[in-house]
Amino acid sequence: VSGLLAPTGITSRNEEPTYFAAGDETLFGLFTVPPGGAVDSALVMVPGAERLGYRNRLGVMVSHRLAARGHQVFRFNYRGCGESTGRAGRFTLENLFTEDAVAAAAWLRGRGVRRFLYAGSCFGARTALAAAAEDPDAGGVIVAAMPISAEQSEQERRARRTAATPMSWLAGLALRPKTLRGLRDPDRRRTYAEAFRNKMHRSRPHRAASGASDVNPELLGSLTTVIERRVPVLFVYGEDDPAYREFLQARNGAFGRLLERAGDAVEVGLAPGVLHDWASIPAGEAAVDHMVDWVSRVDRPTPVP
Amino acid sequence: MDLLGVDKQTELAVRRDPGTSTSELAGFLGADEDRYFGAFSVPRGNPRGAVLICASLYAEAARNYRREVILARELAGRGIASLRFHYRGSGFSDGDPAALTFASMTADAAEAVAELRARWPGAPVACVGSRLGAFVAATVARSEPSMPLLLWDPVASPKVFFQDVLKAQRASGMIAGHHGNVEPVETGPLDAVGYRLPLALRDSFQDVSLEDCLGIGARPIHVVTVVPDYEPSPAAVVAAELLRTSTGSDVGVRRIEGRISWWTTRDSWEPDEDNLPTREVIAESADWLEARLAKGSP
Repeated sequence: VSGLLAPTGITSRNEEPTYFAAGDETLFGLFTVPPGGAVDSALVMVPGAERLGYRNRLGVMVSHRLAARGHQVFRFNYRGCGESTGRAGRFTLENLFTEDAVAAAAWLRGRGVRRFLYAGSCFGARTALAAAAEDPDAGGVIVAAMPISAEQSEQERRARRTAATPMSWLAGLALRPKTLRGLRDPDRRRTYAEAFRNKMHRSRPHRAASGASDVNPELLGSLTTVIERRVPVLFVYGEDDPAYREFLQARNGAFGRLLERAGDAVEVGLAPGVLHDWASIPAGEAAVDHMVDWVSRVDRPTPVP
Repeated sequence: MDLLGVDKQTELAVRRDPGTSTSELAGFLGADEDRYFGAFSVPRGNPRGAVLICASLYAEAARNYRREVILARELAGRGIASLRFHYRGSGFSDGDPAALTFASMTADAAEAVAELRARWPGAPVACVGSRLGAFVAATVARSEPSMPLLLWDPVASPKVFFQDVLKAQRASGMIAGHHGNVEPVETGPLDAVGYRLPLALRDSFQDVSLEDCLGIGARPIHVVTVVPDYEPSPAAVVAAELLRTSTGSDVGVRRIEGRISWWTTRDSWEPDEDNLPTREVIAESADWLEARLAKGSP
């Protein structure tokens, strides 16, 4: 039996549903309080670019396991997602939903929380880091499968992957009967055309030479702020995550020097296989283990009178 | 700006929208030790009818979640209350995910429809089911011979759902470089693209059919499906034909041009609010439910 499914003794009786304001919108959240009562710190689980933010009850499992150890956890739906109001727009790394994470922390402040840990995955990781950088009361950040590169959008990332794929392989894919049938679908036609354009554009010599990924400047700025404040940071990656390769490459430059300066305030946890998208249970379970263990060590909650 | 608070009696979170004069109440329901998560969308004054929305599971539930929220809000604006809920063992609800079965899903739906009736006694009730939730909605509708039943992209057989799961997992394995090696479902819970799908769930759907769930007898049934024009016989149309034959009902079918990826996430998804097929699904569904509920209880 998976450790994640082992009973924790925490149920909905330990959870408080709430609506809270974020700018002009109203977001929905669930606040999990440990059996001993309210404490002065909380982990804010910042959603990823999923429709509900967390796959496979990840939010429930993390919240319940941490509450069983005496920690508070708050999870919420972004604007335009789940039970919240508003429109999400498209999730792109140049438009983080930092305002929503900041609003979640503001609601928690009203509940006596004075120290905040932020956790997120991929898009959520970038948002969590940005929110932590804005919060002088941040006490820790967990960034899972966080893209490091300066490429802002998934389209740019996809273009790089297409450029790295041999032309002969792409030609084979293009001529498969299934692909040809797919040309009848307008969405797929657009996707194929985009891939073709990317391949042609990226195959030009001036782009082909570029292999290493640069670090996104906003990310570097947020991380610098957090590290200068000695806020502990946990990076979690799947060993096969493309973002982990970016992370390793980036350690050769300014990003790496920053991590060195942070010393033991920065930890890295690895999960088997691909963690991105949380589309593998073994990888997800290992990542949750890292998260729960880290919060248990970093967060020192004190009861609120 | 919404007015926010907590319903003292039920401890549900409350959001009132002065712009539309509607409210939403969300939180945990049920008297058992294990409670289920539910969200009411409520019009001002006495509702003209009430709708229970039965979701699918896992990636399908996540994919469809916002569409169900939008439908609920649209209905509230038209004077119709609704309840959406998460099956025990799934979503935000309590319960053991490994104990999720067709029987537990229908038991939760029965409890939810009872909750609707208790809140608004006398209001006519309709049921909506999407994808795998169609089997649950049909079972709920069976309890009341004239209950209108609206189905979104129902799968003609539960096998389609489980086959889609396997396909998605194989595709995911290929993308991750594992060449589509999938742990056989017979050996235990399936890692369904990150969702833990218990073997007992698949087994519980083994002999379940839409016709048996609904039973015999004519009733208002409407099927809405988003499907490409070139698809010759979509699963939802097959399901509608099955219901037409088995119940003798005049089953309406509305095909809306589009495509939904139930188990794969598109990188560039657009908000459902801005998606033309979704807007058509909501308008068609709300119109049909409003018309049916206006005819009142049997």
